Amino acid sequence: MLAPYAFLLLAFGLLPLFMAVAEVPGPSLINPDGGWDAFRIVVQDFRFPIALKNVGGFMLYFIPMMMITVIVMALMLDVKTTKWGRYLRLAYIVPASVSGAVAVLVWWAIFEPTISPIKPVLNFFGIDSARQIWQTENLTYLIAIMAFFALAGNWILIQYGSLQNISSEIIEAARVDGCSAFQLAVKIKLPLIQKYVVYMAVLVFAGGLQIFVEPQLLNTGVYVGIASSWSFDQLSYELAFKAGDFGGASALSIILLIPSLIGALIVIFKTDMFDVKTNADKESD
Amino acid sequence: MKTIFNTSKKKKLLAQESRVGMFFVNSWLIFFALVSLIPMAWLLLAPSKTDEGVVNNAPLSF
Repeated sequence: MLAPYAFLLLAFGLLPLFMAVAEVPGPSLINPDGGWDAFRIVVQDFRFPIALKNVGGFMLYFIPMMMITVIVMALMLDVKTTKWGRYLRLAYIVPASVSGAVAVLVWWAIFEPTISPIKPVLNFFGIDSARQIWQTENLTYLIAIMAFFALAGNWILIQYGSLQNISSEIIEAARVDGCSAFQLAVKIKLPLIQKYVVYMAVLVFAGGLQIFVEPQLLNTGVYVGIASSWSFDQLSYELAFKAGDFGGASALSIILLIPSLIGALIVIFKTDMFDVKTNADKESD
Repeated sequence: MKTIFNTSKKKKLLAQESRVGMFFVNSWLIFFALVSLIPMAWLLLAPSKTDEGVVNNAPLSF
């Protein structure tokens, strides 16, 4: 029964973690003597605080934008089921169905005033040159927008699905008691999908912390050098494949694992997301 | 008379969605769908144009 899960945990969780831990003390050009100093060296790397500032700023935009929009959209979709609902849900999932590299191309075109389909909107805000947008200091929110549209559609549908699990008897009882649509959404539905919201928050946090594709493609394919070592994952990639410092890259990966692991433990132990209830438990409830 | 009063009150209690509220909800849902679809429409149409056409023609033309 547990074998498939145990295999996945071993193959994609514990084994890579064990390999990373084993790699950290290895000697490299940056850490010639090897040892656990790799953690100290990587944290003291001049690019580390820059990546921390970039990723922190990105997450400051990305996480609230993602959480608020997704929850509001899912609740709005659930207000009234019409024949158009399915087409709207399809529209939301389309941007999420393209790969990260294509999403970067699309959003580069959107923010490129010469070819953008929203050229009039950009011109309205006085933007008529790509240089006004594609600046290193603007990357925080440009990447937040790219990442948002790459993920939002999937999460809207997942949260909409979680809303469909709410018993119709509860909704009906609330309606009979005079709940408005807003009260129903905020006081009944939202608390009932709370564990899914926490689950989403943890995954969005972990995904945001590991942002890589968008800055890396912008840096190597669109405007070379605009986002060099912009994120932690890029720094880890550059340590490993440009500096040959696999120990430092592994140390950074382990540092990144810690907040995500804490989030996962919160979901497991502080919510009932993964509670397995037997029939006897359900009857005793 | 009492029965009529009670019925109308109950109807009011059961009235869940205001027209204005639903207008804003539907408007936002449609707006978000357009924001999601316009970039994808550009992506679909851009390969049908020449390099010059991508720059000079209307973005959503083909």
